[in-house]
Amino acid sequence: MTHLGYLLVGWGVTLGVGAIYAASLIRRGRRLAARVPAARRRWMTTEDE
Amino acid sequence: MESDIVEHTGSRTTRLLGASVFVGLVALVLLGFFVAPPDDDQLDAVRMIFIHVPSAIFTYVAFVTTAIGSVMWLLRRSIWWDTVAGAAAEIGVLFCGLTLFTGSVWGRPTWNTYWDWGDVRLVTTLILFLMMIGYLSVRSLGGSVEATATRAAVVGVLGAALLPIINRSVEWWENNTLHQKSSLTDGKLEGMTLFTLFVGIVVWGLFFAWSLIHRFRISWLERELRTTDLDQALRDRRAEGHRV
Amino acid sequence: MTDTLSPRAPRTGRRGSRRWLPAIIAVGVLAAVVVLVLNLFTGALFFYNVDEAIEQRSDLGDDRFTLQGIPIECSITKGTIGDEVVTAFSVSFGGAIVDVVHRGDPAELFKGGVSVVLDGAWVEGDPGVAGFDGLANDGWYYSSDRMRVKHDEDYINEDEYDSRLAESRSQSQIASEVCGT
Repeated sequence: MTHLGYLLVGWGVTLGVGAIYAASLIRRGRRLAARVPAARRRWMTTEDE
Repeated sequence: MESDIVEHTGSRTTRLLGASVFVGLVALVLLGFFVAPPDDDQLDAVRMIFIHVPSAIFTYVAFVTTAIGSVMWLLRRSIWWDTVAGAAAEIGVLFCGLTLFTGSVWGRPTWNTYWDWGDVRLVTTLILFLMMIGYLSVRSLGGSVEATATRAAVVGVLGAALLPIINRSVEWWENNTLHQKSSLTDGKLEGMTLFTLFVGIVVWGLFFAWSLIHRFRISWLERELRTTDLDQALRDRRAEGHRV
Repeated sequence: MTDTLSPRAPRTGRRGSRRWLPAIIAVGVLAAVVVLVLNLFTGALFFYNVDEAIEQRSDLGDDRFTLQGIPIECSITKGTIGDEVVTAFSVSFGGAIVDVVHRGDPAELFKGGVSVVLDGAWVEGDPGVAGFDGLANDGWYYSSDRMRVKHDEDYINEDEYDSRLAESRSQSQIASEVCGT
């Protein structure tokens, strides 16, 4: 396979960054959800609308 | 059924989306590296198309979502839409960064250069990337919710205005860019190359939806937490007043 | 003693310079965007196609400019000028041909039939590369020192390469005539 180095860097960084971002979303969500009262974790309705 | 005391931003929908993304990525790697044929001009470097094009497409989708959310905030003062706009912008910055990176890594073997500072397509995409980083910075500047959302919405709409310019730049300024015309609309794709690209677009779409839902819920929780902190601060101050 | 019951702003956890970080980033980003836009207006990549470069040869003089054309496969010749290794070839576009002498390594995927974008200038005279006659052979050549490849948006599968190549060649009148294919 030609250009394997470029392909591994491009695919590797893309999948790696995507995985890190996904993990950060889950971690941030867990940390915040633990601090917010259960009654206020409903995100689909709001009095502001 | 979802419990009321869950301490995360997941749900049945996001778990299904997440599992689909994982399975889709495995399929995409297999198709992209072992099934799709090499191109006769670009050889195996063409395999970058399967991640570069989906990243570019969902950069557009994300920033259009931001623009719609921004307009809805400006017109209706909808916190829900402002939250959608902010969530989509963060994911758009991620995709836009990956578009620039994969394009650059693809460009070295195929164009013989990583980057050209005078290339209209490349530089306008970089400007969009920077503008949306600016959008996220504006959202972090502080101040009232209304002022922050309004400032951000203006930047969000301006950023989205760049999208048609970037998209059409390869047609309008054909002599100012190394970039080929749109692979999907103007190009000739066929067989497993086309199918693998289609799989890539679907997987990126699922990941975009998964990320958008989680990021939206995070923003929502952050806002609720600020309100909770404010309520607590009020109670504390009242308690201090009673003690005196 | 508490003088008011009005709420204090909730603590954000930010201290010192971190409070200003978003503002600094926003200003930095704005400055970068301005610089990039100015760069596009003043120094944008602009290439002349082969036929345009020939038309404007007298205006261009010996100024550096960027040239775009499609290398004609049968013309590609490796040679030397003095001790320097060069690649000489002819490019066509818009029904015109220019002879090119490229100093330095050609692009990795350089080959006939795939557009190249070259940086260099017109030179009057004979290229002086042994074995290269030049298909334009009009007393001028383009001396290049930077080569990029400009691919099109077609992705051809290897299985069908030969038939596509034959089709592509038959459509290229100039290449057919000068290369005898």
